[in-house]
Amino acid sequence: MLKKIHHVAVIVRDADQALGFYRDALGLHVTADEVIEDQGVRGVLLECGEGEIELIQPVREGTGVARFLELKGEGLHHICFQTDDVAKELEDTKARGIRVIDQVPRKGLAGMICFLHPAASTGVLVEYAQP
Amino acid sequence: MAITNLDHVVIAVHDIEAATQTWQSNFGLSLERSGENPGLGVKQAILPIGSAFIELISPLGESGPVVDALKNKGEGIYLISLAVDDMDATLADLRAKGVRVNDPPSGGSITFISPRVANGVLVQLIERKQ
Repeated sequence: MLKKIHHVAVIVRDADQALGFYRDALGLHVTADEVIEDQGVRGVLLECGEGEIELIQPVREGTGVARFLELKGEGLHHICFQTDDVAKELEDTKARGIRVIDQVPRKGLAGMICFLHPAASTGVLVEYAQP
Repeated sequence: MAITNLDHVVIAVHDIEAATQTWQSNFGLSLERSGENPGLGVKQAILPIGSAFIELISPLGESGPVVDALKNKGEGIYLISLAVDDMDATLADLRAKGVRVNDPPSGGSITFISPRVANGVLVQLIERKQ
C-alpha cells in the first residue's frame, strides 16, 4: 500500500544554481546531498512538510537523466510514493500486468527503490521507495 | 513565513475518466471528488494520498495552458503545489529575495512562480492556514 508522496524529482543543469531558488528563496531544508556514482547523478533532497523535492543533476554523459536534460531541458521528472515494502509492492504491481522498468528493487537516494513504466500512469514516471 | 507541505501534484491528461480509473486501479488511490472548474477551464479529479493529493486535470476547451502543455509535452506532471502558512508574508519574503511572483487574484489563496525561476517547474503556492 502506498503511504504518501515521498518526493517529486526535478532534473536540473546545476544543483548549486537550483538551490539558490529551492533552498535559499523558498527556505526548504536540505536533508541529503550526494553523488551517486553508478547512476551518474548528484541528488539533493529538500524537506517539504510530509514530502520532499529532489533535485537531480547529471554528472556525466550517457545516462537517462543526461538525455532527459538534453532533449527536454530542466523540469519535473518523476513522482515517488513511499511504501513499507517495496519488494512486495513491485511484485503486486507486476502480478497485475502493470509495466515496470526495474524488475527488482535497487538502492537509490530515497532507500530501496524501483521505477514503473510511464505507460502505467498516464505518462508520469513513478518510483516506489522504502526509506 | 514557511512552506509547510508538498500540498499536491497536478497531472495533465487527455481523458480524465480513463486516467482516474488508471490511478485508482494501478496505485490503489481513492477518488475523493471530481468535477468541472470552468474558471480554470479544466475537469478535475482529486485522489488523496497521505497529507497530499494527486489532482488529474484535462482541458474543457480547445485552447489554454493545459491544452498547450498536452500538445507540447504530452500527458505528465503539470505543476507542483506547495502549501504556505501565510501568503502575504511568503510573497514579501520571496520578493525581498528577488523572486518575481504575482499577487493571487483578489480574494484568492493561490499564486504561481514561473518555470523560468524554478528550473523548468511550474510551482503553485497555496495558502493553508495552520
